[in-house]
Amino acid sequence: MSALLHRSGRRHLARHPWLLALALLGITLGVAVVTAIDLASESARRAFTLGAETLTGRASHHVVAGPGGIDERLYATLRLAGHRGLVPVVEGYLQLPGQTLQLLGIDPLVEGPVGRPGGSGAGLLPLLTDPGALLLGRTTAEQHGLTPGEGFSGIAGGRVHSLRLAGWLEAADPVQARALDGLAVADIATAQELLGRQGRLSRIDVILPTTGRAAGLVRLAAALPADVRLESAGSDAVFMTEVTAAFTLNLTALSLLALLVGAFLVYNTMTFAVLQRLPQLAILRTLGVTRREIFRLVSVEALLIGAVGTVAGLLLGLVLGHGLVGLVARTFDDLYFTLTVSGLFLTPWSLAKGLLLGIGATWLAALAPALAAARVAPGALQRRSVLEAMARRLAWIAALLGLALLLVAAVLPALTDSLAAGFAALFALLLGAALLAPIAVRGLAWALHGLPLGRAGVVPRLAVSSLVATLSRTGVATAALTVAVAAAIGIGLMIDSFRLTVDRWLGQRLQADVYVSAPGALDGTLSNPLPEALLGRLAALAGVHATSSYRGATVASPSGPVNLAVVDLTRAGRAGHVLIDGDSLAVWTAFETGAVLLSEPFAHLRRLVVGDRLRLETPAGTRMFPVAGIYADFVGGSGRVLMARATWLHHWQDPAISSIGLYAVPGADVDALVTAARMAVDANVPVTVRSNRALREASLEVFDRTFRITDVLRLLALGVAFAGIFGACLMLQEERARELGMLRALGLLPGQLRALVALQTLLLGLAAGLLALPLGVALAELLTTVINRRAFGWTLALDVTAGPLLGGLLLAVGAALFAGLLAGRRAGMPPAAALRGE
Amino acid sequence: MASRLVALLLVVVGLTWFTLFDERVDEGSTPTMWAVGDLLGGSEDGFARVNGPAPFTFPRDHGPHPGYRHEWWYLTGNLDGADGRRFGFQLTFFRFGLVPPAPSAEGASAWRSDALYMAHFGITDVSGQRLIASERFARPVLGLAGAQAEPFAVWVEGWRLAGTPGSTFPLQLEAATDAAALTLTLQSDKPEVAQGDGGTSRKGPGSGNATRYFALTRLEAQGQLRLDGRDMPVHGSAWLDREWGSSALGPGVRGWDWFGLQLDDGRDLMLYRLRRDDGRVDPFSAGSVVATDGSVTALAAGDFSIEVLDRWRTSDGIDYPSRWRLRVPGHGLDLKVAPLVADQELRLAVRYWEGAVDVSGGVRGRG
Repeated sequence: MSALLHRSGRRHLARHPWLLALALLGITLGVAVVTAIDLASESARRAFTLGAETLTGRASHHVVAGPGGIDERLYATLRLAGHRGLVPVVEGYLQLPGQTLQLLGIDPLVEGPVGRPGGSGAGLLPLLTDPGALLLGRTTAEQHGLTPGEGFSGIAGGRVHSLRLAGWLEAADPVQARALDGLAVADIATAQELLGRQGRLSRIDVILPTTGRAAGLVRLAAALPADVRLESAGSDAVFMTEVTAAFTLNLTALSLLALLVGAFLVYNTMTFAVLQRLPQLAILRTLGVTRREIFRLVSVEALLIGAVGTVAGLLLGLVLGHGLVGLVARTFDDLYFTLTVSGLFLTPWSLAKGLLLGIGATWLAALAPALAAARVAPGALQRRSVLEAMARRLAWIAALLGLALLLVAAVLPALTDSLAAGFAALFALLLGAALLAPIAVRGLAWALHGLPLGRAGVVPRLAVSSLVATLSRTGVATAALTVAVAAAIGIGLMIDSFRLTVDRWLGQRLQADVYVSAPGALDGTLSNPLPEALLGRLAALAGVHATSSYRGATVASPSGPVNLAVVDLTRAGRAGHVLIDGDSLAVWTAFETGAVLLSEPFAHLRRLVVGDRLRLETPAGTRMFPVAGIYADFVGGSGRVLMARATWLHHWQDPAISSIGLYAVPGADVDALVTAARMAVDANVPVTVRSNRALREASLEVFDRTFRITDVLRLLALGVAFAGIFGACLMLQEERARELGMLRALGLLPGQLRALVALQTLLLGLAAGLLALPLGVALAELLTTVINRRAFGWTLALDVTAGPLLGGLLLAVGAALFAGLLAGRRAGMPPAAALRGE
Repeated sequence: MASRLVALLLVVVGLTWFTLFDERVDEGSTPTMWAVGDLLGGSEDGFARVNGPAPFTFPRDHGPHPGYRHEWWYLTGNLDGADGRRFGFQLTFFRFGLVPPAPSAEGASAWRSDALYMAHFGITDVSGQRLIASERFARPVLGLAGAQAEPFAVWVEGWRLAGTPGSTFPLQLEAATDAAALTLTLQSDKPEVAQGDGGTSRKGPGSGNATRYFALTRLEAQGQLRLDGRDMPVHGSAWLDREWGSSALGPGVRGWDWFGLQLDDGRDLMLYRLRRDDGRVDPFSAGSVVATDGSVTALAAGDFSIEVLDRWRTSDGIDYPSRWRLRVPGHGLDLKVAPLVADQELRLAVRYWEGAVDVSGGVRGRG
């Protein structure tokens, strides 16, 4: 019996390949997006930890100092004093065309590099003696078309160098091979010369055997001067994982949105399948098939679709993940740290998650249709109108539930500060709106009824009234469409608002007219600081009214590394820092006398408020810095601390400058000033001289690059939405074939029929589009003011721009119209067949 | 002879610097990132050549000779503990020129170096039938390693052989690892002995295929040994070989066996045999006999014979000669040489057998 039941079910779906295809597509796309995002962020995270492990080898601890690194003579002193297991490391970046590599300078002669990449080929002699010799991972070398012995050029420490590939870094296994991508290894002498860091070490790795390690560490710590510290390895990695957690959560939530829309498609298909088979199901019940069996029949059908769609989704997710991993890594790069991710790390867990989510979502989506099917009474040839009446009643219940969810969405963010609550509100908002959609469609239809359609002819009137009459299907279709379009609108508005905020912020912050900066000025890896004398030389240029200086430095603190922005600001420069918290009158006085300002993301991440004290490691030991204020800032994901140059000099005695801002005399020619500044800089010193406008453009470019992944997600959500609209419209027309056949029999011309179909779907699209507008704005509000604030600590102002709104509306209407036109071409069965059916 | 005389015999079998680096390197035990063998892949061009005999100048020649490609300070010896335990030791320093010395470029890193140093430290514990050995590598930068003539010193990190300020002797030795530590004061009983032809030891055909070679064949040693966490006073006798040059071995030479014997009658015997691929003895094998008064007689390949009586095989199949019969008819010597511990192979970045042995025969000794 059950075999027969299942065959009947399969045959039904096979007769409607379009429907089946769309349901499959919905779930496939949903699962694909979720899996791809999960794989991509997991890969980026893994690449980071693996990279960190590769770079630190088996080191359990590091000897580290302030931003300038460690004096290499300390290493020699420790070695000669008999300290073992010390590995000197010089680290920096090397730019090759299209790729930034991490440059690792090591001493291949010391013990300990086991667990580090091995070298192969005739490597060691040239590595030690050839000033430009490097080792690269095989994949990286091949990407750049290099074979051992070959020369090439690259930029490090702000200069172009002639380099030579001395050999490949040979990996022990494929996982290590991944970590080697994006890594260049050189002898420590070569690395110092390339990076311009002669005399300095980035750190000393400590590799001690487990037995006697504690005693060795105590002995080592006692031998270190005051400004040098012994740190446990891996504390950086832990910190970075915490920092990126919010970003990853954001991506995951957005990808779940795509799955939600996919689930709507399944719901749609299954509801349709059940509606279509009502008479058949009634007969089956008469024949003795139990409710339980009917329920199981529909559930199994749905699960079959879910399984096939999920497997296809996983495969597509793998392909998509390959494309997305670069974008995710790019964002990590811009926000947090340099990262090279060459491929996907396939984790069984990622795939299992996709599988569970896909099948689970399908089953949940099919639950309501399956229950409805099970409720069919034996032999009752239920009339459609009765069903529709029931759907209308259900619509009210759904609406009430929807309202309740909306209330939750409105209240939840106010109750708790957690990011998870923000996302819960987001999904409550979406579901609530979706549940309200059927009622809203009715409202819209009533409104249209009220219009003087009488004169417009029979077709528009028919279209409007049938929209209301077929609510059981139109309602769900509209809901799916609304959710998808609203998500697209919401993300679009969020990005636009963010970009506008950043643009405005750049306008306030970049007060100077010309900026002269050293390479690596922004990321704190200052290898060639600007000579101090340059400040005076630039200040003396004709047309310069005032100067400001900036120094980026990363210093240690008990709560992880802290990025410092050391500034010497003009009055205008101060005004460029918009205070979010702190006494605007007293803050700058306090700042000049030793207090610091925190950027908003920094304060958020470290949970610091005005009046707290920030602990930083200075050469003289740990010092407390009072927090005078919190200011708006969008540089980096982990935030910054603003410190007065005098405070910095007092504690760190390091006069290096990363960049200088020049304020032009009113009316001066800025382009001429840029040229003059370039001339004033020694040709041997690598610097960039940029006008305010150019710097602003470059900054926005970085912003756009950072958020490209979000943009891609929006497009993917739109793709799923489009499939949803399309499917819903096709289903509707398919189901109304008989009705349309009747209309043909009643004398409607084929052209009129097509117009009717198109108009009806157009109305559907319009309804969804209109509903999506307020929902999209509400979503954007949640994303910008709740989610972003909680995830990254950025306060953004929501700017409702016309672009995303219009785009969403157009998408809804356009997709519906397209589907309507396509469906209209084969609308209705021949009148005779339709009549026979009645 | 009934009386057991104190004699020291030091034997290096297998491989020294010419061929060392062509041999297999045990990847498992080498702590360095790359096979050090890579380092001698460079050309000899630009390095100084050894041409013919020349007198040595001291203390200058105790110091380094950076113009030559290889150089070593090779100190070996036997020690007696107060409780009668016997030990062998070695502390050897090698300097490898990577490229001919040149003035450093402007802006060069302090780490940029044209040479590197390797040191081996080994203690043979005869009663424990074991050898404890380890190695260090460093480049002569930032004081991490180096050598100098006045005051004399050669060191790699904390391992050090140095003179006393104002004079080369007595030598002070210092070396420590987690397992063993040795400090010794070494006083020379005999003057520096020029080996080969006026201090030039030919290693093969062709001009320049030779090394400069002198030795301190009898150094009296006194000091402290720490083993297994226990300190004990030790005394004994040591032998320092000094050699430098730039060339590789002649074609067809596979390995070399070196013997440094301190005999109980006060004579010191040095023999080395270059083994050819075909198993024959290379004609450039040579040796010397140093008399009690320090006067030296050179031995050519035809003046002595070395017969291998036994062999010892490592667990991974490397075959070393292990007992020998040495005959020097012109000096009335017919000696049997047997190792005190069979396994005295140094499994370091460079593998070789180097150990203390006992001598018996017409003249007795040990080492």
